[in-house]
Amino acid sequence: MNGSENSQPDDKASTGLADLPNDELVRYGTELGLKLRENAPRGELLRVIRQRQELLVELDRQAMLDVCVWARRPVRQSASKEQLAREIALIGKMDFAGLSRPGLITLAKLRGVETSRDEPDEQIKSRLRRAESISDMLRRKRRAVEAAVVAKLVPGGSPDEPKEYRFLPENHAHPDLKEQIAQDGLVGGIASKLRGVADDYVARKLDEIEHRIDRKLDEIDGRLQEWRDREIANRLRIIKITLVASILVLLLSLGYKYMDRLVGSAPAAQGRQGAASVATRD
Amino acid sequence: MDFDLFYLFRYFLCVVCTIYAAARTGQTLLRWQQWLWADGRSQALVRRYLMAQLVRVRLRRFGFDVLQIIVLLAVFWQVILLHERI
Repeated sequence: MNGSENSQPDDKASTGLADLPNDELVRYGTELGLKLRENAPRGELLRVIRQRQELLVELDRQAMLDVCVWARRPVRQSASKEQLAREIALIGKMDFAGLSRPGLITLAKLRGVETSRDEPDEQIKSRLRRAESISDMLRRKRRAVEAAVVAKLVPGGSPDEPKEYRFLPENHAHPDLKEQIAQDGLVGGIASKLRGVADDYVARKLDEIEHRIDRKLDEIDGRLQEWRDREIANRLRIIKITLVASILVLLLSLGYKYMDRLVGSAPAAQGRQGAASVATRD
Repeated sequence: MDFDLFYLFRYFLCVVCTIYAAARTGQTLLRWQQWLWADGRSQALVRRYLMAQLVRVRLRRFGFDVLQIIVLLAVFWQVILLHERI
């Protein structure tokens, strides 16, 4: 189940940021590109998320669109700043070729790198590279290697020239009121428009419900994965304990065998010595 | 004829443990097989989900445990070889 892009609540302020539980706050902040700890104090979470919302208000939407186009993220041209910020948060690309200067500054700000107006592009790029964590860099390099291998294996996996970027089509499901009345008459047009608005409302609500169900299913899936990993770890521990016990018994057995050989060889040596002394007397 | 009590103990321990472990493992596998391969939509769903979960196991997470088991097996094998040398 996938909710459409429009189904996402565009602004959490409308639902009340302060009313959200901590896990929802962390999820929301992470979607906006913030790195938040699960156990961070509530006040801290609210402060950081509000700062991010203020930053989004300050940022230029066109520059954000530039970033999405540069990273070839699928967005509508009419997407809101918050939707664009969500997409930009998913970008891990560090090759800044083709990115406009406003886009570069926007990306830096969203990644928490402070920039000044007269700072040269190269300096901003190097600061962005320095700001990348080692684990992110390793993950990016690993994925680049995997992508190169797969592109070689799959025919047509790496086209010579990338196709021109195209925005997602806009959602114009219903014609406007003027067109509707011209088409269906006054009463029919208004009725169709109302029906369309009601349909939109119901569709949006259904998408929201679907989104919540998806989240719950993800939670259940996550718990089942934890349970599975715990079970595997337990089984491996049991195998280890069994092996250690077997080795201890084997060592005991080895010691016993060694002692048995020592004790058994002593009477035999005595017997051989006695036989030798008898032969000497004779 | 030599009567070795410890040898007898080892022999019986080996036989009893092997039979017990084999029987228990067989029983468990059979029970799972019967439950999962039963007819029905829910069982088919669980079966597919279980397969998906197995495929999604991250082996790297258990790498250290697996390494320990490999080392223990190597020690186990070496001690058995030592038995033949003494």
